[in-house]
Amino acid sequence: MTTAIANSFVPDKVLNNIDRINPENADKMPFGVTQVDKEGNIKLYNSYNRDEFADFKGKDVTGKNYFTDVAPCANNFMFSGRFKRGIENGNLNSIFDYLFTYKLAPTKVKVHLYSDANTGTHWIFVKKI
Amino acid sequence: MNSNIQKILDFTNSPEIQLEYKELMQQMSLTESDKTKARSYFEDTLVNIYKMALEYKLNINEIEDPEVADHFEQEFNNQLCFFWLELQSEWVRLNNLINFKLNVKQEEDLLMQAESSICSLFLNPLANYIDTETVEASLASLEQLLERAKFSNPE
Repeated sequence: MTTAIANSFVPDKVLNNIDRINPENADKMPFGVTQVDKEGNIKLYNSYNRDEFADFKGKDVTGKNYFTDVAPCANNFMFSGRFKRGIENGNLNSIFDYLFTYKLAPTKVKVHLYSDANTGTHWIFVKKI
Repeated sequence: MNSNIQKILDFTNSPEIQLEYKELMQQMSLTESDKTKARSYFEDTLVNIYKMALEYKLNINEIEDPEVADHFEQEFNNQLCFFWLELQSEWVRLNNLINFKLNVKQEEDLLMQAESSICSLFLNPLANYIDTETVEASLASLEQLLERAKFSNPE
């Protein structure tokens, strides 16, 4: 069982059943769900992301790199740096506030970067605040 | 002749960019003073693009040799590429600073946020006028420019 960080917006039941996330149920979640590989290449990108963070409405971003192609505003020490360090250390589970500014009005979000040891999967959860 | 230059001039005079700016500002809660500064930032950026295109247009029109004119038209395209890069770099700098302040000091700099978003308003439309050949030529120039940092470094 995963012990979630207290202030995560991602419910425990999601983190504890991460192997059950698929494109259909991810689209029903009230926050952004992005599954990436350890390089940041997107494997799953849900409708919340597409609807709230512009520019990719109706487009398939699977295979694109989250940090360089889709959210270049996240390509820095504070975001992609946390991701890379977490992957390297094998303990990615980080929650922080962030501001998206690329091609949209500045949008404050809460981010939860998370790796699941059992499935070896990596996740970027984002929610507008 | 002057096709890309004219397109850029048309872009700077288009109602669309003004509308996008207006919509952006409507989504932000700035003080009156910051609104004025944001407006200046937007207009300065727009005027800089316009002036660059106009300068090339007027001077190219006076050149009689079409080959020379074409050469300068290509040079305009290179300058446009560098202008885009300048805006992109400005956006990266602002975006990273905004998030540094938010992460480290829990401070929100609304004017800086507005400037960052204004920068990003221009990036996609301008990129539409930059072709792959120009990007590749500019990459080589950029590499040469960065090399200069090595020579300038006293170490």
